[in-house]
Amino acid sequence: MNQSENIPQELLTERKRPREILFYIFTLFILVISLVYFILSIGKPYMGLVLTCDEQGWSVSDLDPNGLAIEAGIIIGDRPTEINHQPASTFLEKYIDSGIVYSDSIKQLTVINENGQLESVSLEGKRQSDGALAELISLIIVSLIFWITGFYVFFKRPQSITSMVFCLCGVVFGLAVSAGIATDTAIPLALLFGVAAAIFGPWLLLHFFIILPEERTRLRRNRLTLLIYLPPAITLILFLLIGQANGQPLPGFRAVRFFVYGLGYLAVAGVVVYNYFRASSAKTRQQMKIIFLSALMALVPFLILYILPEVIWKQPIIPAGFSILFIVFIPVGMGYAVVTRKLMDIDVVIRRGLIYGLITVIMAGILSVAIFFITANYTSLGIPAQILVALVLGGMATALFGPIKKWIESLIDKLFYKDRYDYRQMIQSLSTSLHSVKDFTDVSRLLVGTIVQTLNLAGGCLFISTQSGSYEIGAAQGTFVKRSKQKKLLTLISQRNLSIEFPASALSADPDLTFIIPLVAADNEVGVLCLSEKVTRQKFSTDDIYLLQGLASVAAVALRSARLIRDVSIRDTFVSIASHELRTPMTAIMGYTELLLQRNPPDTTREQWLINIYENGRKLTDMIDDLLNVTRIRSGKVSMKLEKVRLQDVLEESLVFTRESSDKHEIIVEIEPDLPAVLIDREKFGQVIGNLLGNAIKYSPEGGRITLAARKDMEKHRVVVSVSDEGMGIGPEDKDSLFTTFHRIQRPETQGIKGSGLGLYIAKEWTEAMGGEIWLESELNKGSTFFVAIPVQDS
Amino acid sequence: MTKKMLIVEDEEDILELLSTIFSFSKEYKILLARDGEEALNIAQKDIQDIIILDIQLPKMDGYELCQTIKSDPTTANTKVLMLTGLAQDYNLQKALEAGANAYITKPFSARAIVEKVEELLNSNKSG
Repeated sequence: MNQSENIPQELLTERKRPREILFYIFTLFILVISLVYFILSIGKPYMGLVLTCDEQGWSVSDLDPNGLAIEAGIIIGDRPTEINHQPASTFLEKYIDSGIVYSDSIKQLTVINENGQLESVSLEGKRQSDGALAELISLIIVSLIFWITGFYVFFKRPQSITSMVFCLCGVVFGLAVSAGIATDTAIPLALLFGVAAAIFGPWLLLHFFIILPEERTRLRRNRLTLLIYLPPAITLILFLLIGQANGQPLPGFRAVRFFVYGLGYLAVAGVVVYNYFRASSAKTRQQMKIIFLSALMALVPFLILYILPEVIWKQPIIPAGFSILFIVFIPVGMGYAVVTRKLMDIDVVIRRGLIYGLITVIMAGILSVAIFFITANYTSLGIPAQILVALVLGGMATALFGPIKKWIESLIDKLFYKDRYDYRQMIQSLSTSLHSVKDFTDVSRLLVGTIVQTLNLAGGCLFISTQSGSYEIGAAQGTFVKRSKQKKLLTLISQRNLSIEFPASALSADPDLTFIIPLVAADNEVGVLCLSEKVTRQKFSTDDIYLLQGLASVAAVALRSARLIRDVSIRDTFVSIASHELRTPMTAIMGYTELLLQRNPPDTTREQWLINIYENGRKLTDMIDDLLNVTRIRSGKVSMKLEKVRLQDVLEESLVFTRESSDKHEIIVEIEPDLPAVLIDREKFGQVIGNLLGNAIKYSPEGGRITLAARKDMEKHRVVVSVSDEGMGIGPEDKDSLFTTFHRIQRPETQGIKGSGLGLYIAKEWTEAMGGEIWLESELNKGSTFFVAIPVQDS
Repeated sequence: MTKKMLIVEDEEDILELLSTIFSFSKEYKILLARDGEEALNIAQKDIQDIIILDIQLPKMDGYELCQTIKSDPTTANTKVLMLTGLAQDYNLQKALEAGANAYITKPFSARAIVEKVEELLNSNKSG
């Protein structure tokens, strides 16, 4: 058994390894190239100009502020006379088609300006200008931050594709920057790498934003997402085939390249906006907000300190080389948004930052005024006395700081959050809403919904106490919607102790859980409310605690009334169904017995009547058994005779009964050989599977295919048995209540199909009592599959 | 003179039992229906003297069928004997409100149902 467990895990590891190795090789390759380009570019001067050809011939059309050309006094409009020690016309001959020359191929240049003066510049013996060096160092720093953030995120979550894509974004950015610089200094292949990195950059970023939201887990595995790389891939191929000549890009291709960048960045912006407004999880919106703000922190200083002054006064406040340093906010913000499980609420951070700033200014003001008056009136004070005064004032200011800060904070919180409702009014309106809701489920949903919404919580979950002392789920919202989470909570509240009960925090028991609130009415616990922290991650204030106490009291009373109504209704249903289901077979038994006593039918008729009596007697017994089982379950008296069993045997027994009861369906059996042993109550498990098979037959058309399958699920250390049919299927409205007592699907197609509505309830309770789980997948009019999972018994 | 009788019941065993009980008497021409719509179809095409009607039926329940038959002038004279496993007072009250002439609860004896049917048909004769 152990061997069979190991095989899939090994296979799994084998499958993952090549992808990770490939990723390591690829990123390291890019990293090494970028480093080489940076190192080779240090100290290497470059000309830094562009020559273009118009009707009047070749002239300088653009200059790099850090190039040697501008340093040598060359200006835009100057005409080249000599390039690389040969006549300019000879050198420029091969560039006539493209009409443009970048300076990376120019080592020496002589130009004539409009006054007829000659200016000459040569790279030989020259060193890199200080501006160029400063810019290079800035870019290296920015690239370093990109790499560090990228690899930090990747090593933090190596299995996550989002981390991989993020890391790739970082290294590709570094390559684009380093190759861009290396192109200027004419280092081989830099142009190709630069173009490739620049083209793929935005699309990598797009990929990252598409798969980042936590709700798009499936998309991460979907290979169709990779189709977004088609436009940059095509552009790169076009560049290699027709987009370049003489080692430099053709002007036409530059337009295509810019179009593809633009398209990529537009798509990125679109996805970010979409994520912010349409993504269902609050975390995604927070991530988008943080990334947006980090982009603003990067771009606004660049705009204000460089671009705007350059446009207005032709003179930036700080050089481009330094302003580019602000870009580091982008990788840091993105990395934080990807890695951190619980993001800070950026609104609150900013608001608090402003408040603290304000308080500091007020305090500084008070202190300055005080010092001003003291020093003005008591100039005779010596230095030690002045220090003492300053210390006393500082102490006073610190003492005042706390209460003032608290006061301002609570004022701000009131303005921003709590002015939306008045607590007393809130409780009253909940009570009013509860009056109009009678259904138990609706009451549960209303309670959870109101509490979560009012306190702006990330999630809430209500468990209802059952008569047998266990709990069942009433309603759940937000972070607690997942079944696995609910199961965890269920275990937690079943074994909880007083130390984590409201108003104590339950954070120590579960990181997502803040409060466990028992709902008590008439000295009985009617339910337990589990609440998460606030979406804003603010702490619960004293007012919040009062509100919770009020809401919990209302909730307890409402739940108790709803439960009483439900119990009465269940009892009525029980009486009604029991009455009908018991009386019908009884009628047949009594009727045929009476006929047998009064008439003297021929032998064949007599035999048929006796069979009818026997069959109806059996139906009666089954129904009584079901009712007794429900009673046992409800009173917590289910006894399980657990034994180690070969599952094949139990399933085959169930099949014998099923085949006997219907020859009108095609029954397919797909049981994996060598199923591990399970610890179950053989008889009860057989009845569970028999019930599922019986339902499959009842709710499938004649000739329909019914499949009984059993397979190992070694990942979860269990065996999963499934019963599938091609019947009418089960709609979402019935899925939740299907496993409750007396629930029957009310659809035209189900009329006339007999059943007590107890079978699935019993099946669920028994399966869970055996440590298993039962669930269903179904699509309307296509069929249903019921799954029963039972833990594997270790040998 | 033979009486036309329609037995409406979705439980095959009960349907068979009832048809057996009444088949011993040659006075009845018996028709069978397994759901409400089928029963209404038969009852409207071929006017029956009496309908033995179960309450819980597919497609159209016994109350609705009874009400439809009783509100249609052509079928209003058909006697309806409601057959019910729902023995609570409000179910019986509902049956009478729907226009049923009488009801009998399950389980019933063969003799009791035969007598009930005869009583209903005779009251028609005298009325």
